[in-house]
Amino acid sequence: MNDFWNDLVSNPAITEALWPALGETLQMVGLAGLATVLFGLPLGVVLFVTQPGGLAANRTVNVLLGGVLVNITRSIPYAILMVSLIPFTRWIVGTSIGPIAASVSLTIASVPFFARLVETSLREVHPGKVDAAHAMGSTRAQTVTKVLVPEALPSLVASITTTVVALIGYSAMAGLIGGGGLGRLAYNYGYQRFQPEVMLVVLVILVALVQLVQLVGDAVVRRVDHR
Amino acid sequence: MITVTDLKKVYRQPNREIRALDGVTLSVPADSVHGVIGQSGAGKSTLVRAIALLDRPTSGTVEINGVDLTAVRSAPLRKARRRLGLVFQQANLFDSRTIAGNVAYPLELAGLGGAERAAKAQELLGLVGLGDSGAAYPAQLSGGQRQRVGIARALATDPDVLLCDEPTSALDPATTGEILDLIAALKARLGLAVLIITHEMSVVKRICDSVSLLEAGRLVESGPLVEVVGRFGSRLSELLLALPPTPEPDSAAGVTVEVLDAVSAGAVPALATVGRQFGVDLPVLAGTVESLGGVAFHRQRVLVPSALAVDEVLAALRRHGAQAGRTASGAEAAA
Repeated sequence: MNDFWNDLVSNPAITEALWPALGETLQMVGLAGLATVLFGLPLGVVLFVTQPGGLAANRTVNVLLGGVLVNITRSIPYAILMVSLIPFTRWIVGTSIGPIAASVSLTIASVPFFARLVETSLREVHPGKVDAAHAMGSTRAQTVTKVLVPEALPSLVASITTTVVALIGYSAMAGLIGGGGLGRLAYNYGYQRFQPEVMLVVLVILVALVQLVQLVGDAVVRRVDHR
Repeated sequence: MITVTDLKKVYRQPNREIRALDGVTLSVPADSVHGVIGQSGAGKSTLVRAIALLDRPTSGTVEINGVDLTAVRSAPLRKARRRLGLVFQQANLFDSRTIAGNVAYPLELAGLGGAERAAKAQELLGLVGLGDSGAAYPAQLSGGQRQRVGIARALATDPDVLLCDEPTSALDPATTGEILDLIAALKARLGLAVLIITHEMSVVKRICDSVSLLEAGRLVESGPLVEVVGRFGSRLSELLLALPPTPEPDSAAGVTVEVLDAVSAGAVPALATVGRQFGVDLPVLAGTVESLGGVAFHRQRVLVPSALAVDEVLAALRRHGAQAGRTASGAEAAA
C-alpha cells in the first residue's frame, strides 16, 4: 500500500504528464463540442422543419440528410470512423496528430448524434405554439429563431450536456491514435506499462469531469427553464 | 367585419375525398359576437384553421374589411393577418417569455421599438386585468389568467376581428364566465367582430348575438340568437333549450306534447293560461327557462291527459302565442 502511495506521488506520468494530458482532453472536448453545436443545431433544425408536415416539408432534403447522412454516420463505430477519417483530417488541419486533429473526427461523429437530439427537442415543442407564431404573422425563420429554439432551450441545453459527456468518452479513444489527452496517458502508462496508479488517477479525473459537466448542464437547464 | 364565403376544405385520399368543410358561408359585423356550435368531428378545428389560414382552404374566401386573406401569400398575408386576432383553447403562450414578452411578440414582428412594445404590452395587460403580472412567466399563472394573456396577445396588433377557438373549453365554469364577460366587454370597447367556435351551449347563451350550427362541415342552421331559439323544433332551439330525457308515459295516461313559449317580461306563460282554461293542471315532465335578449324562453314537455283532446290543447296554446306540437313519441302514439 505504501508503495502504491509512493508511486502515486512520484510517478512522472502523474506528476508531470497528467496536467498537459488533461489540457489536451479539455481542448479536444471543447473544440469538438463547440463545432458540434455550431453544425449540429442547424442540421437538427433542418431535419425537424423538413420532415413531412413540417414548417418547410421537403422529402428529398429530409431523406438525404436524415436517412442517408445522419443514419450512416451514426452506424459507423467511432473507433472505425476516426481511423478512416485520418486522410480527411490531414487535408483539413494538415496533420492527423494532436488534439486539434482529433477534434475533426470527434466533431464528425457527434454532429449527427447531437442533430438527432435537437430534432427530438424541437418535436417536444407543442405544435399550438407554432400555430400561434404563424397566426401572428411570423415568417418561418422567425418561427424557428424566436419560438421553436427558445421554447426548446431547456431540452437543447440538456442535449448539449449529453453530447459533451459522450465526447469525453470518445476523446479517450481518439487519444489512442494520436489525439493525446487522458486516454492516451491511461493506455500508455496504465495499460501498456501496467502502472495501476496512473489508470486510477485518470479514472478519477474522468469521473470528476463528467460529474462537473452534468452538474453545470443541469444548473443551466434550471436557469433557462420557465415551464 | 369578417365575411367567409363558400369555404371548402377537401382532403384527398387515394380512394376517396373527405369534405371537412363543405361550403361554409357566414358574416360577422363589427361590434357583435357570432357563435359556431359544433359537436366533435363536425369540422370546428378545420374551420378555425381555414379561416385563420393556418391551413389553406381548398376554395372559398375569407375577407376582413374587404381584404381577402385567401388571395394573398407570404408577406402580404402576414400583414393582413394582423387584422385577425386568434385565441386558442390552450392559450398557446410561449413559456420561454414573460407575460409582457408574450404580449409584445406580435409587436416585435410589426417592427415596434423596445420602449413602445413595453408600453403597449402594459396597456393591453391592463385591459385584460393583468396589469401587475407582466414580469411573471406563463407557468406561474392559472388557466384563466393564461387565457387573458392569450386574449391580450391576440389584440396586440389592434385587429378588427377576434377569432376564438374553444376559448373556454379548458376552464372551469366560474372562469369561463369571467373570460366570456371579458370578451364581451372588449368587443363593445374596441368594436370587434368576434367569431367563437365552441361546443359549449353556455358560451352561446352568454355572449352570442347570432349563432350557427356546424354539422359535417356545413352550417345547417344559422341566425340571430333570439330568432333561432324561437324557431320551434329547430336543432339549435333544442340544443340551447335542452330538456333531459323523460320516460315514455303510458299511452293510456295521455299524450306528450312540447311547448315553446317566448314570454316577455310581466306576461303570463301560455301553458298557465291554457291550464286554467281547461280547468286542469297539465303535468310538466321536463322544462327549461332561459332568458335571452330580454325574452324568457320557456320550453316544456307536457303530458296531456287522455281525458282532454290533444288537438284542442295545442290549438289553445298556439292561440295564446306559444308554439306547440306532439313530441316524436306523442305523434306515434296518436298515429
